[in-house]
Amino acid sequence: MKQYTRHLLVLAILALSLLAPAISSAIPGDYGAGSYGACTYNTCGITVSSDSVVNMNVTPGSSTTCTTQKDSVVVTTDSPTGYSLSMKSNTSSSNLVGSSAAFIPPVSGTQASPTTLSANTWGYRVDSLGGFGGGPTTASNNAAPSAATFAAVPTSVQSAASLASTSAAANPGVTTPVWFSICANTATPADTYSTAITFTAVVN
Amino acid sequence: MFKTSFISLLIAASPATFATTIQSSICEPVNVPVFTTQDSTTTATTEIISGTTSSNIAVSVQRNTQHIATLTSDSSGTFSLQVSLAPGSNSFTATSTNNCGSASSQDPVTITRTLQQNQESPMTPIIASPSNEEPAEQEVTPTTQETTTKPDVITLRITAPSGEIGTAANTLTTSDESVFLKGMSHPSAHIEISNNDIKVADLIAANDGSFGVLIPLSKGTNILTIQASFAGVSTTQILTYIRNEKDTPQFTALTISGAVVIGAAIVGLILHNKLQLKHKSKRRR
Repeated sequence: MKQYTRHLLVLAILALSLLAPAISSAIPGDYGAGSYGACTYNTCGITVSSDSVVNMNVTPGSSTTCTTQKDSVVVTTDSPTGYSLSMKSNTSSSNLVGSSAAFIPPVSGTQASPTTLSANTWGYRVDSLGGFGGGPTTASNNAAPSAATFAAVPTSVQSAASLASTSAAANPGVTTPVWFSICANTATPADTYSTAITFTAVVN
Repeated sequence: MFKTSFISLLIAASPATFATTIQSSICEPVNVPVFTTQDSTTTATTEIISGTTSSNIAVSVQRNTQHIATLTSDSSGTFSLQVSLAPGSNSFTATSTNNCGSASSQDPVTITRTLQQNQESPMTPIIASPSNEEPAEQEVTPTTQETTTKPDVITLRITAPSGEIGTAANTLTTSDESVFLKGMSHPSAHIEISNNDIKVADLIAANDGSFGVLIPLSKGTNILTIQASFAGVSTTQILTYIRNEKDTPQFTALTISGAVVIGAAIVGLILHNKLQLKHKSKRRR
């Protein structure tokens, strides 16, 4: 028994001597300053938020009717190298799904080559990004189809759509307006259709 | 160096994410309800008002800004409702509401109910006394009189939910969340029902005087005041429903007592084993 205790004591001393440099470099005096890669102490936190829910109600008339609404995505970081913001669907489909089997598919356009919305499709656009053009896009309800072009939100198995990339700190937060629009006619059954997307922000 | 790399790795592996719901309600088109009933003047106490709107849509009807009924248009978009008329102007509006809550209403239709002047000349005094007797000296100011035959009394008999309970101040106890109130009154009588002084129903009795309406009950005491009125004569009955909570199975005591029994058995078993061990060790010694 005594021998066992003695072995434990030797092992403890050995462990302490090995850990001593690490412990000494982590004493409180080291925090509050210093550089860690692209970040200085306490500067590389990043947050992203948006309006949580984008509601686009459409009451189809005798012809195709469209509603366009904005989601304000806010990224905040102290990273001096900025951030990258991207977006993709949470599911393997970008359809807006109704309570029954009915769904509304995304527009066929891409960010590089967006297209105008046809009846019973939906999409997103960010003014002056990719091939979207300058806009400015404005919110509208039950309006006639516009000349603004839109792209499909990538599915969860596709590469995320890059929405913004900056090279400077964003504090206070920087807002990226992401516009969503849907066009429908009476061929789409009255119902509530939805999907979930995720915005991701990383420091550069 | 190790610490720097480790922190960088942590940062690279910790992107910020935020989930957003994209939601779109495709709403039923709403046609503005249009009354096919024209503005009119009548001496009747009830009238059927009709109109058109979108098919199979909820239509709320208001009389003088007060909600009186919600009905559903038929497959051709037609709706109609028998309404009671108060003396004077009765302004009816209809509001159609779709699945998105979008409402649409039009200019009201106004039905004015007039009170016909008494057939006697306004200058002729009406003697307020039995005609077989000597006329009284007191003159009564000439008044208007409803043309509808004025009943001496309005009957009101409530026959639900179980048997006849046609006397005032009845008290019933139930665990149901609503009660279907049925009754009989004067044909085409205006029936108004209030629950704890809040109006919950407003309907017209059928031609045979029958009526029925589902009344939601709140927990506790529900004092239902049922008023039947016709041609200015009315009668009121009060029913009291006490809504109790439905009985729910009580498992707590059983569970606790079961746990106590099982726990006691385990403790007993342990003590028993310990005693046996002690006993064995004593015997060894």
